[in-house]
Amino acid sequence: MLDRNSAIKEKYKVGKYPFEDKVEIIFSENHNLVIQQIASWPDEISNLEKLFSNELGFKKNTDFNRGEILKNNSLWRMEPLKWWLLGSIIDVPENLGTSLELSHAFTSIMIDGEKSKILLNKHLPLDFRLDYFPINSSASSAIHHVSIKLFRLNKKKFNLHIPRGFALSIWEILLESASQFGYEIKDN
Amino acid sequence: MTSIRKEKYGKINRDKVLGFTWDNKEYFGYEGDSLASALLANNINIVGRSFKYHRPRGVMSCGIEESGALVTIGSGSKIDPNVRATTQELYSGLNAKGQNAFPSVNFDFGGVNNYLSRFFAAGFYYKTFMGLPPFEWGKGTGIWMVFEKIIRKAAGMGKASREPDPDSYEHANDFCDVLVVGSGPAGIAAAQEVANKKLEVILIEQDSLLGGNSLSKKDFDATLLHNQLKSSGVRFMSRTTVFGVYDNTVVGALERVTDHIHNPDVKLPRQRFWTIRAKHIILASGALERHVAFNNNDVPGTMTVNASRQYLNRYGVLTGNNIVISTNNDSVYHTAVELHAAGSKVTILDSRENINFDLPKEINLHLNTLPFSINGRKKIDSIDVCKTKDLSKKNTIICDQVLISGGWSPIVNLISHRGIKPVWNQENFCFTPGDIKENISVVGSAKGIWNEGNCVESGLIGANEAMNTLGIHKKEISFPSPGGWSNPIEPLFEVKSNKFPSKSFVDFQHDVTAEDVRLAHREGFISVEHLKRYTTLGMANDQGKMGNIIGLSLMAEQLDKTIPEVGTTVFRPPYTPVPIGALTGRNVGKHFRPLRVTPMHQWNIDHGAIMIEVGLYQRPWYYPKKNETLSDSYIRETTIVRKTVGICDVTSLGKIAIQGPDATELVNRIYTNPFAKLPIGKARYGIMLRDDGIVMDDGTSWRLGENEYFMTTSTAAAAKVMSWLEELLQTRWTDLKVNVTSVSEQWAGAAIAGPKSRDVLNECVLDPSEITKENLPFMGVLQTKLKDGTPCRVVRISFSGELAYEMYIESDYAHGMMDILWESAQKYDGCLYGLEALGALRVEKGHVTAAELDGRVTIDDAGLGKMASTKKSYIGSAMRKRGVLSADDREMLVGFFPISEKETFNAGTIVCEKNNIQGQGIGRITSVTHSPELGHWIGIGFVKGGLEKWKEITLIGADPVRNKQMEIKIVSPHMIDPEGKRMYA
Repeated sequence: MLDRNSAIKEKYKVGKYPFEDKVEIIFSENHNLVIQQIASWPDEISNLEKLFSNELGFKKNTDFNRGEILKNNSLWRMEPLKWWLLGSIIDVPENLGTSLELSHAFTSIMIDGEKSKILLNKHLPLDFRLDYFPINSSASSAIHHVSIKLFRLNKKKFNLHIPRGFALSIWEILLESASQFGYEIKDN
Repeated sequence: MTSIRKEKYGKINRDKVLGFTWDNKEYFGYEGDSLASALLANNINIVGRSFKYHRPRGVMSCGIEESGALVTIGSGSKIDPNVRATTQELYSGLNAKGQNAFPSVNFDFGGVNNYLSRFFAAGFYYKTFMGLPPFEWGKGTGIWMVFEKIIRKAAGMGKASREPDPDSYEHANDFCDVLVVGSGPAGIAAAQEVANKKLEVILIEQDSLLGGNSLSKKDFDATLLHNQLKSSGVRFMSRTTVFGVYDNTVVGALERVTDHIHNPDVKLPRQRFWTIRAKHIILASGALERHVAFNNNDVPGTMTVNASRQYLNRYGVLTGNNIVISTNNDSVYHTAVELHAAGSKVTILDSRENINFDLPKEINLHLNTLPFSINGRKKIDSIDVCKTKDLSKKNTIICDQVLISGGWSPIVNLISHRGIKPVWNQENFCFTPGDIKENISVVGSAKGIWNEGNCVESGLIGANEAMNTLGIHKKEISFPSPGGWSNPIEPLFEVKSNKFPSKSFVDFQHDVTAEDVRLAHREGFISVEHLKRYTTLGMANDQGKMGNIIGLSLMAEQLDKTIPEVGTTVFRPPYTPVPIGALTGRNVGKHFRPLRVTPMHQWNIDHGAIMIEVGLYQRPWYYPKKNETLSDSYIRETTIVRKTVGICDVTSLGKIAIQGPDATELVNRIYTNPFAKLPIGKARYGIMLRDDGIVMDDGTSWRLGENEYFMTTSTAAAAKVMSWLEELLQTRWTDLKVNVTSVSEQWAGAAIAGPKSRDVLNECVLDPSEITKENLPFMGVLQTKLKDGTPCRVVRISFSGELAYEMYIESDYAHGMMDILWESAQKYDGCLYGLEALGALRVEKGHVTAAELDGRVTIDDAGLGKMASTKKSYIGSAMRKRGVLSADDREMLVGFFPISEKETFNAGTIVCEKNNIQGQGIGRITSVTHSPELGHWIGIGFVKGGLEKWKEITLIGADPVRNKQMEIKIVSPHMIDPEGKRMYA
């Protein structure tokens, strides 16, 4: 098998880039992204949720734009009838819905740190106050007109998914705007 | 005017001395100074020249309403013109210059305009360019072209740099429960009250310090207030101006991040454009003190009264030695006492008959007295004053400064952005906010409340109103009434002069005089909107902050109406100017648009590709060898593809996964040709139409399984087709069990084209026996593995007309796939080819792309009518049969050859009959190339009636844009291998 090649490899320079001796944003890319999109037929949602529970151990029937995180994988309800399973792949019976691997369609970037929310708000019109965008929330929005998917993993940590072809451009813009806070790019 | 720095006054940091330059001379100020205060402290009184008459102007205010001290900051690419010196914070190294003057604002040749002012009255432009009297010589555009340059040079403000802006800007979003605009007493009270209820509050202040007008108080401590607010949990944004209030309590704000820093770190944006979404807005934006129109009311040294107080108590600058204050209201008296205490001689002219104030005996108070005319040109020597009831008797008072207060105007601009008309308050002679039906409260002097205690109370009530609307509680509320002075204000807008033309200015920035307003009336421009446009009153970058009310009062007088009957112009965003750079944010330079690259982008560059932007995509254009031009390169690449093999990145094609038990039904409904019986493992070329029967796009669909298709679209129509399928499934065919998902980013694709393509592929896959003519026939699909075991998809398909394949692989493996394909291709003397060769190959073959399928073409026009099924219904199947879409004279796809093989032509060339070269002709050439195979230029495009009608007839290719014509002939669009022997090999 060939090695996977990151869309942002040329501009992914591991290291610290402080501003006034501070580093308030930490970036890292998930180089081995595994995304399975699972779409349910409207009358099969509960059966699909049973599948998630039985096969993978997800306990919650997640609402739209919410997710559940387990040790090795996570499940995010991206649309009322669509989920993203991150970290593993399961078989989905055709009578329940359709399954599609999108592991190469997105570049997955973790954004952590004290100023992560402020950085994201420079590009996204999303209300990141915890009451409005709690942990395990997801959102579909756009950075510089490019559609993105965003997950909140904890108070300060977000997982941004950028369509692969635009990832380099958006990555550069993120680094530009993060330079005022100081940032670190971590090897993952 | 003699202004001096006073010890023991001001909130400046005298321990930190800041050096700056003004008109190339070095001066010093202190940390905490504005540029205006520093200039005044250095006794620099002429800081600008007026727009039209080039009259010397000084500092006239202390804030954003400034009309006189408009200066240019910086040099080279960092030039920033029209900066208000009153709002520009001083920093070490600040470089400021006067503008609109030659050689300097102190001595300006343009000042001659002042003596020609009778020719430059309102409407002068319009009148002049109707023709010069007496014979209206030069009437029309011609004379305008002559004079425009002269006028633009003579009039105007500062000049922007012609270099690219070196600064960065950014956008930002924020959210809160309550947004408070303004940090005066009312705003502070409101913010603290709301924060006490644990709501999230953002307080925005345009100044660098909190306090609003409290900063003009001697003992006010901004730091203390800052700490109090911080401990209350209020988020404070300083140096930020709310410039607009929009739907759903959204405000636009501009933060000046580094405008107060010399050589800021390049990592910081210069300015930040905020969009803030609040649940409730409290506007505590304050009020502005008005001038009064009288003769020579613009001589340097003229200033609003409160500005003088600000300079004294905030900046420690006493602005005059011998000061005359002219007023019609109570607000000036405290200032008068303070100026006197600071050492100035103070004389007050009050237009009212009686007032009730105890003043130090050294302050001379003249009741019933008006300012009539200021004497002096570059500085004030004295002022002529007169009695209110007798303008003819004048006394002259020696003075060096005249401070004016013609009343106060609440800042109703922001609430007016919501379409709420201000209401005239006859007791206070000002407009106050009208009835508000949104989640917006107006408090403090922005509501016309002058008394500080009442301002604080209104802030508290505004906070409670916010909490009522947010459902925090339900309290009865009642705002204090506007006003609050002990002695009622009396109207004073203009003191008429008997001079003509008088220099009684209404709008200082645009040199609009009281006489201009009367002229507009005489000439019929009596609507306030017409008055504004005709005289330019309120059209400068202060947007009428200083002059609007005076102008309205003058027009009201002319019309014998009241001010509310005359009305006011509509205030629209922005409240203060917003630089275009800030609007643009980071979307400049290479990020003007988001760039899209294929997974092989770097591989292509590493292998010598010259890239080209195609839509948002960066695609390989050509791969030049040493010293090759574009033409050399693509001709070589095209030749090699036809001879051996070439590899091309085709990732940009749209790719859509169609899944579900009704996938076949969906595909069959959207394509014109039948797909119902397409076997698994086969692909088919299809055309899809719009509802109106015009071609939307073409592409292929591969059947990967019983219920799964992989659709490719053209690069140009990828997003359009995807959203079209979504729309159909969500609105028309909701019964179909199908999911469609864009997988354009998931898969990378390469075309392997040429007679040796099969050999190349055989070396690349794990099992070479799969890539045979029998196993993988034309339009066959194979899901296989590269020789190292990486899964891939192969389809036998040809855009070039040669034996050809496309290989798709998951994007992260694209580099590896290209390595493998290229290693193999090189053994067959193959090449990499780019978009230019791709185009040449397909034009030779007569294949259409978005250049041909441009939204006007039917399937018959494109010569693909046979693909339209007569047995099934599909999108556009009925409408395509409309007569107009099947008329005989429609433009049909054809090929073009030049009659002379040495001739070239361009896409866009209009095809005309030989004796009728005009208009849109009889057709158009849409794509052209040099054909290495044929040895001359060729093209495809459309001609009315098609090939049959024009065969053997010489036509003209007219290219009026390039001033070119050539003889051409019409040929079949399929210029290479029309039988398809190579393709099916």
